[in-house]
Amino acid sequence: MNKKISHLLAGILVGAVAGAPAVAASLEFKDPVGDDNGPGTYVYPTDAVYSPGSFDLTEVEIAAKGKNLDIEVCVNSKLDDPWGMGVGFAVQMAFVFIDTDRTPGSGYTEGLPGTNIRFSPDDAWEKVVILSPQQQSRVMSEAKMKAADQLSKGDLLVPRRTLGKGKCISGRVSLEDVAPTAADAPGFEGWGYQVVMQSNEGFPDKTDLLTRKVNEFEGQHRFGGGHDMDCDPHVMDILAPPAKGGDDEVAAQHEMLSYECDLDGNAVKWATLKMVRGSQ
Amino acid sequence: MKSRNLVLAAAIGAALAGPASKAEAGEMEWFGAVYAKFLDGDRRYENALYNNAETTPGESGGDQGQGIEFELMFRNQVSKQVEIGGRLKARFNQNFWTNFGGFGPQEEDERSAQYVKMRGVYAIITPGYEWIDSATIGSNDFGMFDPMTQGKYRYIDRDNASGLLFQGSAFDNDLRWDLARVSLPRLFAGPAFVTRGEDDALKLETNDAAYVGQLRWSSSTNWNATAIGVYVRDKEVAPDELLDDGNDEDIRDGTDVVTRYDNSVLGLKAEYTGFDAFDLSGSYYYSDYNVDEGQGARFSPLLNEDADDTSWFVNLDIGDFLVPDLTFNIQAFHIGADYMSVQAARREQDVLLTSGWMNTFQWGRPDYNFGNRENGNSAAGLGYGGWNGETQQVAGNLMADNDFTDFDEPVAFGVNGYEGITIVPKYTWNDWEFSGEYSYFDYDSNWQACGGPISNDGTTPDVGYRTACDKYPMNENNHAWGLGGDWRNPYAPYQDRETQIFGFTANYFLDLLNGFDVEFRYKFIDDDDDRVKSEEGLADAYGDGYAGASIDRSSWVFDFDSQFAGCTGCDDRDAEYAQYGISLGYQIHPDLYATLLYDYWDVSLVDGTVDVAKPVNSVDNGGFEFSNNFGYLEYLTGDHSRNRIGLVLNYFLSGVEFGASADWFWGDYDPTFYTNDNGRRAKLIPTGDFVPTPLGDISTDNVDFEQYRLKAFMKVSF
Repeated sequence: MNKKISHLLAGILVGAVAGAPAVAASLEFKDPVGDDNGPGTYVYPTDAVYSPGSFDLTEVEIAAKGKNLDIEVCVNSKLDDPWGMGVGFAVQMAFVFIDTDRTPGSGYTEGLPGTNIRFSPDDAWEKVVILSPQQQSRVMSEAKMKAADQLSKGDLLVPRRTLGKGKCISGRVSLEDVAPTAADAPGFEGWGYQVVMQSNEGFPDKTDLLTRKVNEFEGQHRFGGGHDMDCDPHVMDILAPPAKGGDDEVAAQHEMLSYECDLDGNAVKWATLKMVRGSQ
Repeated sequence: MKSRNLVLAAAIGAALAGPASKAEAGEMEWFGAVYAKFLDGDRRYENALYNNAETTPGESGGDQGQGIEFELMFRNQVSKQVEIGGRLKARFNQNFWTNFGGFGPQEEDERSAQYVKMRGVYAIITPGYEWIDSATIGSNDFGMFDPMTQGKYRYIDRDNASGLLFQGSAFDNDLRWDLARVSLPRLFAGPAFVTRGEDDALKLETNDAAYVGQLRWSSSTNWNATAIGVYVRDKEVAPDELLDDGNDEDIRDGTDVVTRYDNSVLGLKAEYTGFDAFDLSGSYYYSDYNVDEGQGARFSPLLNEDADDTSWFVNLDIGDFLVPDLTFNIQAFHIGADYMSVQAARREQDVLLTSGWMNTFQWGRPDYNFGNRENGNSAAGLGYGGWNGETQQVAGNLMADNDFTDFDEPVAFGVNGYEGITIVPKYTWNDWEFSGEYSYFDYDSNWQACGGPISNDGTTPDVGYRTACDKYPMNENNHAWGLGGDWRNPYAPYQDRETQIFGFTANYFLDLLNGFDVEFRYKFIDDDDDRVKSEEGLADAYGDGYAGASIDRSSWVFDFDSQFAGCTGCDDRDAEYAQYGISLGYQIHPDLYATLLYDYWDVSLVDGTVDVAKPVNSVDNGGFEFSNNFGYLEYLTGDHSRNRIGLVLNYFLSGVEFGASADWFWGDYDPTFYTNDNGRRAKLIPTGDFVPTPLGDISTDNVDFEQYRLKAFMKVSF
C-alpha cells in the first residue's frame, strides 16, 4: 500500500506547480435555452453523437486577462468527444464575431463561408475568433483556401488551444491581435459581439469553412429544417440583444435568422445578424 | 496522449454521410481522398500495411512498407425526393509500392491486387409525407442508435453494413423515431463467428437480420428520454426437411426454418439537466439470448448457452462544484457478465467514463521469455510498445475489435462483467488545466468454477469448472494471464478480482515564443485477482496437471498435495502498473505542430507461483496456443520497466495533411519467482540459471527490450 500511496503522491507532485492568478475583467452574455433551432425550424442530425442541447448556446463570457482575451462559450449539454479530437469536445464549433470599432459601415458584413449569414452595416465585424476542436493549423489551412482575405489581414483568429470542459468551450487569443490599433478605442467591454453556433465538420463542402450543412430534411450528419440550396443560414443558435437570456430573445433570434429563397435557391433575403454589446 | 490522427477514422465515417452538398438537382458531385502511408520499424514484419491485421491467422500486420489508397465518393441529389451516394475505394492492405503496380506475391489475392471496390452505396428517399421523414436503403453505419444495443459500425465496416432505415418525427419534432432492418454480417454476427450451422445443406444466411426500433422524446430543454429495442434472429433450414422419415421432407409445401439463435435487447435512457448544479443521466438494458444447442465454440462472440442479464449506467455531471471551474463527472455502472447484444458496438464507441487499461501492455510482443522470430505468433500484436491510443470500452458481445489499426490508434476493449464507479474531477486555474481519475472495478464475473460445481476430482475431464465454464467462450483467454490482458476475453474460470485506477494529468500553456503546450501525466493501476479461493477449487483448477493441454509440460503437477495443497494464495495475481509522462508541444511554424513525449512505465507483477499456469480445458478453453512454441501463455512474474520517447508531427497545407509519429522504446524485465512454502506463497531465490515452470525453463537473467517504430501519412482531400 505504501508503494501505491507513494506513486499517487509522486504523480500529484509532478503536476502541482503553481501559477500566479491574473486579475480579469469580463463581460457575460446569456441566451435562452431551447432556441437551438436557427430561424425556428431547424432540427439536429439524427446520429446519436448530436445529443439534445449540443448546439444550444446558453452563456458567453469574454474576459481580458493580461495581454489576452479569453472567450468561453457554453451550451446546454455536457460536452463529449466521440470523434477522439483530444480537446474535450468534438461536434461543436463556434464563431465569435467582434465589432471592435463600432463604426457603422466599417468591417465585414458577410459571415464566413458556410454560414450563409450577413451582418447589418451598423454591426459589421472586424475580427472573428473560431473555437474549433480541430487543430489550429487545420483551421488555418482551411481558412487559407476559403477565407483568405480575412486570414491574410489578420482578421480571422484561431486560439492556439481550444478546450472543452463541462458544458463550456474556451479559447484564448491575444488582445493585440484583436485590437491592434487605436481605432479600437472602446476596449473589449465596449465592442460588439455575436456568437454563432455551428458544428465541426471534418470533411466540409468545398466552399465551407469546416461547417456542417443545413438541408430541408435532416440526415445522419446534416441539420434539417432549412433549404437544400445555400440561401438559408447554416446556424443553429446565436445571441440576440440584449443577451440577458429573456424569452423575447428567441423571437429576436428567429427574426435575425429569417431568410427567403427564390425558386432557384438564390437568396432573396439573407439572414442578417446584429451585435450584442456589453454596454447596452 | 491522444493522437489527432485517430480522428481521421471516426471523422471519415461521418463525412461519408456528412457534407451534404447544395448541388443542383441531378448534378453528380465527386469528391474523395488520396491517402498514403509509410511504416517503418525494427520488428521487420511485412504482412500488411497496418501494424495490426488479424483477419488472416498467421498473417498479422507489419511495420514495413509504403502504399497509397484512393477513394472517389459520389453523391447525386436526383430530385427533391431522392438522393444517392457511394464511393469507389482502393484499400492498400498488402498493396505495397514494391509490388510495382501489379507484381505482388499473390496478385490473385485482393489484398495485394490493386483493385477498386464499390462501397457505401445508398439511396435516401424523402417523400415529403408527414408521417415519415426519410427512408434510407443500402449502406449505413447505423450510428443513430446506441452502443449497447445497435452500435455504430466501426470505421472499416462502416460501408459494409447495409439495411433499411426509416425515420420520422411527430409532435413538432418532440418525438423522433427510427426503425431499421440491419442485415446480419455473416462473417461474425453469430455463435462461432458465423450465422450458419455446420451442415452446409441447412445453411441459410442471407435473410438473417436485426430489427431495431427507437423512440426519442425531447419535449423539454431539461430532459429527454429514449426507448430502444433490438431483435436479432439467425435462421437455418429445419433439419426435419432433410430427413426421409415421411414427415416434413416434402419441400413442395415449403421449407421450414429453425432458429439457430435469437437475441432480444431492450434499453431505456433518460437525461435530466434541469438542476442548476448538476446533470443526471442513466440507462438500463435487458438482454435475452437463446441459442440452439451445439452451436457453441471456444472462439465465439456469444455465449454457448442461453442467458439473460442486465446492465445499467448512472452518470452525474457536476459543474463548478464548491469553487468555480471545478467539475466532476461521476459514473456508476454494472455490466452483467451474461449481457449479450450481438449488435452492440465493437469499437469507436466508449460505454465507460474511465480511461481504462494501459494500452502499451496490450498484446505485448515479442515473447518475453524466448523471443523466437520463427514462432509465427510473435508477429501478432504490435510488439513491445503496444498501442499509444486511448482505450475504448465496449460491451455486449465478445467482439471488441482492433483489426487494421496502427500503434497510434485507440484500442477497443471488451468490458462484459465490469461493475464499479469512476470519478473524474477537472479544474482550471489560470493557465493550468488539471484532471484526475479514480476508478474502482469489481466484476460480475467474479466466480469460482464459472459459478458452477467445484470438484476435487481434478483428473476427470467433464467435472468441476469445465461444466459451467462451457457456457463461456474463452477466445484467446490466455493473454489475461499475462501482462496486460486481452480485449475480447472477459471470462476466467476462477476469478476474484478488483481493480483500482488513479490518474492525474496537468496541462500548462507556457506563453513563451509561440507558446508551449506542456503536459504531465501520471497513472497507477492496482489489479488484484485471488483466483481460486478454496482447496477444493485448487484441485479442480490444477489437479489434472494440465493433462491434454498443450503447454510445454502437461504433466507438470506430479505431486499435487506437495505442490498446491493448502496454498490458495499460490495462484494469486497482483499487478501494479505505474506510468509517468511528460509532453511538450510547440507550433514550430503556422503549418507545423510538433509534440515530444517521454513516458516511463513501471510494472510489478506476481502471477502465481512457479507451479501454476492458467487452468485450461484443452478442448474448450485452450489448445495448441498454450505452448511456449506458440507463445500465448507466458511467464511474466517480475518487475518490468519501460521507457518511451515519442515524436509526433502534424503539418497542414490547404487541402492536404501530413502526419508522422515515431517511437523509441527501451526497457527490461527482471523475472522473479515464487513457490509454495507450507501453504503460503513465498519468494523463491533461484540457485541456477533458470527455474523450471509448467511453461518451460525460465531464465533468471534480466531481459532487455527495444523497439523503434514509425508511421507517416499524407491525406489529400478533394
